[in-house]
Amino acid sequence: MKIPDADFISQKLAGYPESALSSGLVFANDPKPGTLDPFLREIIVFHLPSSTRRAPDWLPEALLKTDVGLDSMGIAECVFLLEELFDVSISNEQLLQLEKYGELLAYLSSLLTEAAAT
Amino acid sequence: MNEVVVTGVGAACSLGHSRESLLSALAGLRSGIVSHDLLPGGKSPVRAVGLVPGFTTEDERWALWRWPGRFPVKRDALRSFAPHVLYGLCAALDALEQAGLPDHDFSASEGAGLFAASAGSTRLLHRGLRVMDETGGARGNPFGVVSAVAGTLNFNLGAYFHLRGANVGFVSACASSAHALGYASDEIRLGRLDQALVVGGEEVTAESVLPFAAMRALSLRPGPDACRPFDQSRDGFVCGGGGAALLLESAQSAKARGAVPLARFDGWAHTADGFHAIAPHPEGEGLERAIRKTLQAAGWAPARVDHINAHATGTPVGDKAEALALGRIFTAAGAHPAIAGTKALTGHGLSLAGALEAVLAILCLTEGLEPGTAFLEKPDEACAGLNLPRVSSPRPLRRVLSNSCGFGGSNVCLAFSRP
Repeated sequence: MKIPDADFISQKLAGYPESALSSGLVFANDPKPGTLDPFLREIIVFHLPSSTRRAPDWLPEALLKTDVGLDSMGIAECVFLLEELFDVSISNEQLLQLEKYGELLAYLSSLLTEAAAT
Repeated sequence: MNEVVVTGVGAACSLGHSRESLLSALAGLRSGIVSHDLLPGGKSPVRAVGLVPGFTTEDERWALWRWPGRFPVKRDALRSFAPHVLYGLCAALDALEQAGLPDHDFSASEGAGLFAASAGSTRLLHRGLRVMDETGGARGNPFGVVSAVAGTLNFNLGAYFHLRGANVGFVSACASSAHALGYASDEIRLGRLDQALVVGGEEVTAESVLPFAAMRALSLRPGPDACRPFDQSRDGFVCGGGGAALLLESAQSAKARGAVPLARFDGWAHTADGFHAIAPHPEGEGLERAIRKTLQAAGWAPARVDHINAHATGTPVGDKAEALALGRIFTAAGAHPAIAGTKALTGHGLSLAGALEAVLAILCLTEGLEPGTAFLEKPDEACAGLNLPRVSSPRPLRRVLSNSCGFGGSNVCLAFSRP
């Protein structure tokens, strides 16, 4: 994993709402699970289909599809962005394990911790 | 057989994105062609293109796209769109509003279908393949296929409007959306559908335009007068992007809804040259047969045609072939319909062209405008005897034809009349 800097986040999030960009910049300045959480939420909210968009329940056990409201292509698009942002490859097998918001956050947090340690 | 009518039309192209702006440009012969650097820092001499004003779609990231605020586009649908799908959607929204279907949700009906034509997005395909190359195939945009391949227009708009009767794409190059119109009308005529939304779309990017320069098919003039249909000085076509849409329906369907038909779709025909992958038959033999078969389908003698929107791209070979075909049918019969090459103003919409020019022909029909051909100073000798007005004039029109020709020798002719 490569921790993205502010310029890279600004480039990848061009056209996203200001709140997504600002949470990304907070994360870039202080990359840790606590700043990753709100950044990840902003990314997910942007990819929710308008037909199912509602205030998501961000409990760790919230299922990304049924509770948060992402459709399968929304998940795929989020994953593509996360792969580019963090320079990681998430395999189909790993993706199948990431059904809950808490699982996705924990997975990215563990990569972040590993990257910070090296 | 059911009678087929047109109850709504819309277009977004280099002339603007409202029916009023299109008619105004046709009346004043104002070109939408501009000089534009397709590949900054590049070496191509091609400058003239027809961009789509009011839309910002240069970036491949849909989150950065902008469009005229009057179109109520559902933003999250854009993620699987190409830019030309957005143009086509806006054109369709206008057509449906004019047809009296502002809620544009056909999900309750099994009798409504989509007939669409685009070449796909070579830009998005190019960018997607670049990610594949850069990552060794490890990553890719999950919408890379549905946003880029030639079916992107029908994939996306069929889902957007919840059309359940049919969802079909056409790929016959510059005849594509004319074929879509023809086959859609047949489905209604045969009673298989009540309504058909027909949409064409193309985008203008380095990836979509410059390959034609490699064929030496594009005009190298830089300005708004680069495309010169039928003129002796013509040196090639100019690419023009956009979207165009028409709602066709059975006369019974329109009547039941209380919709007022703009035009009757009296018939169509298509033929093939069987001659060359790119070049048309030099005498326009295949196009001549398409026009004659269309006149037969509509039950019209040549003298009953008031106006013809010619294919007329501004290429030396194509315009000559079309002029010869028109001369053998009309001049030989003592008929002199007003012939116009509107690509002088719009540029050549490629897959979009047939639908866009059907929209323009119907606008002229409904508004009583006989369009001229811009930048026509010295007509090619092959045009001898043809009526090629140099200016547009108010004039009642009853019956119009629209021609389209595509690679592989495809020829399509469409016939519309006032109801």
